[in-house]
Amino acid sequence: MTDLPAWERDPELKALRDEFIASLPDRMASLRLFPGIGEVAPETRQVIHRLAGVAGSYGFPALSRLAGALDDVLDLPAAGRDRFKAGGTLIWVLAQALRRGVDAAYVTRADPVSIIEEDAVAEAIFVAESLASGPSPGSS
Amino acid sequence: MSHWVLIAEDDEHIARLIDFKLRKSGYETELARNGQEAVSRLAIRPWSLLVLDVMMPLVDGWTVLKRAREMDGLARVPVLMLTAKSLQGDHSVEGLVESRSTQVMRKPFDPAELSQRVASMIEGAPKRQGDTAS
Repeated sequence: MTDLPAWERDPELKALRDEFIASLPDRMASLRLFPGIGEVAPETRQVIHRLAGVAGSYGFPALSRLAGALDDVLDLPAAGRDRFKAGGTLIWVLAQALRRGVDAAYVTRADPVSIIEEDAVAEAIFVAESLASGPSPGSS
Repeated sequence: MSHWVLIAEDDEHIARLIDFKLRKSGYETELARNGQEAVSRLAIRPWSLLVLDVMMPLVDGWTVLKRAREMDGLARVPVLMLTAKSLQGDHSVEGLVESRSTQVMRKPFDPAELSQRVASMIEGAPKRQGDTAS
């Protein structure tokens, strides 16, 4: 979605991207507090939501999509979420993938595309995006 | 004539990216780190455009937009709302994004597209009293 060579062409833009990448360990520290089961702290929710909004603009669209899928599932009412057989597994798969994705983005400085292409992760993203765009799980 | 843009965004990294792109495009900018700060700055300049993140601490972007629309000088100022969430089916924002002067851009966005959108919104905005053609 972004013109990647632009990061290299413009030193100021490259510096901004470097600073975003340098912020990933701090974001990761919050994600570690949410292993993918149990309650998610408001601060961690904020980290997930912000990652969804910012990563793609810095050339990490796969990371944004992953965070956005988890954010979408966490938005579902707990009661409605539980109605899906895969509810808990879905969140766990996405949370684990997001943690691996953030780690990979920090280490390789590249968008972790291969992670969202893994079968289980791709399926979890598909389900999450379908739930987010479909009717409320509480309504039928 | 210089155009001033108020950017209200709580994520430091996205705020700085928007700021960088708009300054590079020749706009003067000011940053507000949350909605409350944005509201307090509404009256300090004749803004040409507001960029408002929807989800911000203290006061959200929709509230900032409502406050702006209640002010004489900002009733018709172009406003670009940024959100990582779809607004489809969100009845709480009906009436706020119907006008051409309020547009919504999904996050994550391409920074170049954002600056193009800002340019077209400012160019297409009704002239304010006191503005002169350049």
